[in-house]
Amino acid sequence: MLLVPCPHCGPRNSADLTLVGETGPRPDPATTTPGEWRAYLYEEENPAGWTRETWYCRLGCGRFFVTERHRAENRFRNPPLGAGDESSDRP
Amino acid sequence: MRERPHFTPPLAGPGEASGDGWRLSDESTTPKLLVYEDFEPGGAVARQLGVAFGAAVTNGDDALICAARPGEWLLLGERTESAPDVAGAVAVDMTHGLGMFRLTGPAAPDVLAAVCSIDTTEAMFPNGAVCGASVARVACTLVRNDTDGERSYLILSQRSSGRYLFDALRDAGAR
Amino acid sequence: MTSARMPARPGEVIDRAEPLAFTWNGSEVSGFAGDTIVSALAARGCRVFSRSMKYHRPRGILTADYWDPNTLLQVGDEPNVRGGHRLLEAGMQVTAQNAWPSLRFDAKALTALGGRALSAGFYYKTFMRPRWLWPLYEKVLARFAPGGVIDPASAPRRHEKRYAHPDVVVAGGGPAGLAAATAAARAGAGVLLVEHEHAPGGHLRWGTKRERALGAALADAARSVGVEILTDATVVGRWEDNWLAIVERDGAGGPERLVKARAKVLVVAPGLIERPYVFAGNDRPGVMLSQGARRLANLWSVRPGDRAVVWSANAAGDAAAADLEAAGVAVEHVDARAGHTVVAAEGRRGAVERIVLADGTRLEADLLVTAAGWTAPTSLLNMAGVRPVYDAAAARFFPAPSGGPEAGTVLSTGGISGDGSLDQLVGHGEATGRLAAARAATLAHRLQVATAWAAPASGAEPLFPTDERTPLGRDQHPELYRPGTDGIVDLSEDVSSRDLRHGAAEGFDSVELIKRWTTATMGSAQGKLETVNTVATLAEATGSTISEVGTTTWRPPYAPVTLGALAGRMFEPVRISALHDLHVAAGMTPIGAGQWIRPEHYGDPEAEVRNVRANVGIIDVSPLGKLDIRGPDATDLLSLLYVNKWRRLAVGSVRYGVMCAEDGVILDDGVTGRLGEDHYLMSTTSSGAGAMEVWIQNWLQTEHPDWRVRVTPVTDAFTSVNVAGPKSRTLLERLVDGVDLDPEAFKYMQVRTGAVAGVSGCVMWRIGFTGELSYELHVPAGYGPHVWQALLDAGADLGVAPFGLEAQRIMRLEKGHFIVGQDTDALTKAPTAGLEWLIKLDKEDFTGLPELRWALEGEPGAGGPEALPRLVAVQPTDPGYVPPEACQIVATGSDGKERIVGRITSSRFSPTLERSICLAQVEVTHASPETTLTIVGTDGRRRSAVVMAHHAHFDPDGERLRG
Repeated sequence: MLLVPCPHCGPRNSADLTLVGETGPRPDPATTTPGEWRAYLYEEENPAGWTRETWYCRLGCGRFFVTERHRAENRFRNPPLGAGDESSDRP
Repeated sequence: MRERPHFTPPLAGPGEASGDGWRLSDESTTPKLLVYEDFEPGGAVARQLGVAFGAAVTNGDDALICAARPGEWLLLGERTESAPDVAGAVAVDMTHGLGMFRLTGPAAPDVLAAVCSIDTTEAMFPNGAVCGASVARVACTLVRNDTDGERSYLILSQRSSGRYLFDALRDAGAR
Repeated sequence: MTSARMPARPGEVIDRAEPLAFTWNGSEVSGFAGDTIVSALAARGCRVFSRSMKYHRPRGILTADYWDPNTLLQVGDEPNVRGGHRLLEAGMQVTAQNAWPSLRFDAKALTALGGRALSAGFYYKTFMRPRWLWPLYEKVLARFAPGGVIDPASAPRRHEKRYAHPDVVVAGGGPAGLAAATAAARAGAGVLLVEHEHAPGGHLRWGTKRERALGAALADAARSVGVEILTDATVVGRWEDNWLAIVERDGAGGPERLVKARAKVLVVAPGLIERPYVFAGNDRPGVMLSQGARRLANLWSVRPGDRAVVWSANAAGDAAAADLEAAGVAVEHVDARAGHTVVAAEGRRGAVERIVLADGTRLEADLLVTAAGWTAPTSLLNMAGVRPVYDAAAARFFPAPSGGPEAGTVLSTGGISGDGSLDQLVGHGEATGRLAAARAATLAHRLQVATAWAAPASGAEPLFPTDERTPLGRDQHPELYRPGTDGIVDLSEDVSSRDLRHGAAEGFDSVELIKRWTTATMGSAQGKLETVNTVATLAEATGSTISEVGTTTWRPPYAPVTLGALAGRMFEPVRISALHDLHVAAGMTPIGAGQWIRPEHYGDPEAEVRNVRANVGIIDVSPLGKLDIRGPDATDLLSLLYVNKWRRLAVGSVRYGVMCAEDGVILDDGVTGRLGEDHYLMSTTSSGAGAMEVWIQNWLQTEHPDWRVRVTPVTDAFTSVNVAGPKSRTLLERLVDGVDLDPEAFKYMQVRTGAVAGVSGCVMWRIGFTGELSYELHVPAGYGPHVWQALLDAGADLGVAPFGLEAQRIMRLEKGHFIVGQDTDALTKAPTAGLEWLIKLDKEDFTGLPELRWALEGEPGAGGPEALPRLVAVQPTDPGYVPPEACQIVATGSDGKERIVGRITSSRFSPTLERSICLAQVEVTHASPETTLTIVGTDGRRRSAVVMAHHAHFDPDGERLRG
């Protein structure tokens, strides 16, 4: 189970959080078109690469936050424990 | 003549249980006050309470100030004079809304390990630590609050889950 | 049966002072403490333990351990017990599985006559058509299904679960694993060592005197430095960030337990698993792997045969020959390294009598021991992204030198990493343990620094050290897979080398395809014995190399796990109101509503309805979601959340509101009262309470973090009681202090705060879900029981009585109030429920605004409100007919065909109107008042019903609740 880097709690089991989805702007309700609004409602990029996504720290601090995750390799841009890899530039 | 109101705790039976190296008791009658950070920048409430997120500190008048969520403090204790005197500060009485149990004893971490995924080792969850956690699948606030040098935890949940939670903890201890 | 037990020998693990009586297929037998079921039976001379899965061939001991595919047994009511692993207990009732009527005369073995009838893909090919025969096929095949018998009446077993946070987990307690664990613990790490067998030591346990002494010393050293050793346990899976599932099995020691461990570093040290050789007759009882023979002789003092051929390609095989000679077995040593090859084992059914070598030599023997090479069980490494790479010179797979991004926290040692002397293996283990501890220290420091509540970390972050271990060497080993004769490749699934070749010829020529077509590697041994032989056979069939074919993906679990262990202890949180004990005392019939246990009724729901309509009733509505909303921007928040307007709601008033999601679908509804200028109490549906809190926090935190408003869930802070009925005001006048209850002073849809029965701080609002004059009291929860009892006592002369959820549901349906999630679904937009009057499109923003604008004003190309179904009140023509909820409503078109135009969403018999009443969703063409509808009952009969003019069946003008 993935450790999620909650910016408030620190590393937490992903079961303690809810993945809300990809983070994107909400269209202006006054001027939006059906096409734009439905894309906001239903479409995700879901790239085989990095994406910005919102998580909700459901059982922890109760905060929503945005982080970056690689969806093919299932790891965060700033993994809570570092890369853990000998080749990592992290000391 | 009308009967004087009496407080009914979440539990039906005795509010105590114990086993090998642990004791569990119901402390739900403890006054509980939820205080929020003030709206205007400057943090007068934060300055008065002075407890950073993740910590629980006992202040002068014996209330335990638990910073269980960013920008929120849960004040636990017989007196809540430590409630900050800040104009516009939002404070909500949670005495009735939360069940509160105390798990004490050297085996308390083992009892918790059966129902909670939080690492309770000394370095990771020292005395005065507080966090949100699932305990037997109930969303709880977990506080390390040693009594007389003995390992002790406060476990707070919504009141309606209290009886189930107490039973689950007692059951975890019995195994 | 003649006894095969030898006199007491050094190193044996049985306690001859403690005999254990048990039964085998009904016969009384006995073994000793320390025996496995299989060793005890082997000591009695038993050689056939099971019948194979498809061909029902007799099978005997192969490995005498957990992975033995031939010794799965039924023990009492427990099927599929691993007899080579499970320790004997007194009183066990052990029976063979998969044999009928008996192990010796198995009727199903007749299928062997058909031979090819059960070849790979047989089921796929044979039972596809005709489809209508499937139920018959199922019945026939079920009788032939392998495995034990599940007794539905058996008592539930205990399953436990716990969490652990070790610095280092070592998977495998052989010499390298023990050395790694000890070195890591000496370096200051908290270490959990998980050993598959019943004792640590690995292969040293059945080795020479010197090896046994070394094993014991290594285990003692580990214990002395505080290593926690779990025996009879397996690391069954490894996931991101070293999240491990460890199963402690259900043995004599206690219940099965799932340990969920978050290790900082995982050391994989499972050793090597001996690989069978594939040749004609290789599944005969009497054909055994060298490790199986050594275990029987050295651990349990069981002589595996009288006259053995030991065919050996390595030192382990040579050691087996020596051990058997020491046990008094006549041994013919055939050296594979000298080019000698076994091609067949022959004999009468169920036994070995002759071994045939490639050069035609025939050797008389009742036991053939093979030592053909090793399989590296790299599963846990593969789960961390490390690929297995084949080395032909060593004739086995090794973990790739560099792995995925997390490989630095997953290390391997021991036989899986290479070969060497015992000193070299122990040395490599120690180096691995030190590296693991040092890396764990770095990660522990990072965790401590990053975790808000952890103690302050002291000092700088320890260096994450590079891997400077001296790699283990690799011994040369001949590649021995198949001599040209055909044998069984997968003994668990009864898949032969011929099946694999035929599969490849039919086009299933990749390892992932052949696995699924033949089920090779999918049985109880989970590939540990047969994966590499499967790969080698496929390589041979397709003219490629083992490297080119590659292995199948090894996924969790490493070893089979019972479903009970995975389920662990069941935690089913239950919520109860503060009044629960009073409801029980009053004889409630409970009903589960989400996590809540609520009173459905107290005996007679229709009488409860009549009492509310005539007198006064009280209902516990505590689960109703309640949110305390405070701050200068509270009104902005309400305007955003609800479709209707809130700016002009006066202090002291309540208003009904509906919330929609961003797609315009109804999300929740309820009333919200304004308690002060900047203070509201919002109510939500009971089922939506939790979701609404998250929904609101999401909007506040992500879209409007600048708003000055605090939202606190207070559902449990209040006991909520609805006092309903024409005499409700009279009742409350006797108990309420500080609030003027005069209808002119406290009007419908107003809120007051005061004292009830001496309890101050009660919020009261005058609303009417039931359609009667009613007051909803929100009482501080600890005083709930006091107030509830006071209401019952004070209203005895008024006829006050509690009513339950069912009576409330009847009354709200009489009034035509919809319930979110009952009368609406995930597609129900607000206009469907007749809420056009509520939706204020002129507001700047609210959730779902664009969708509702298009729904009401029309969307280019997609139509307007006429496209949406309508919620209508419906009354069946037959007043005694209550159509079940979800019944379809149909209409006959001009083409004479029936089509669905709607459905019943709620239905009850109304005791007030003495007739059936419904709510239904119908297409707009069938929604006009007095339209006749056709309801299709669950019996298929069509019955007519009429659309009503108003949602309310009763008191449509609301005179009763405004009185």
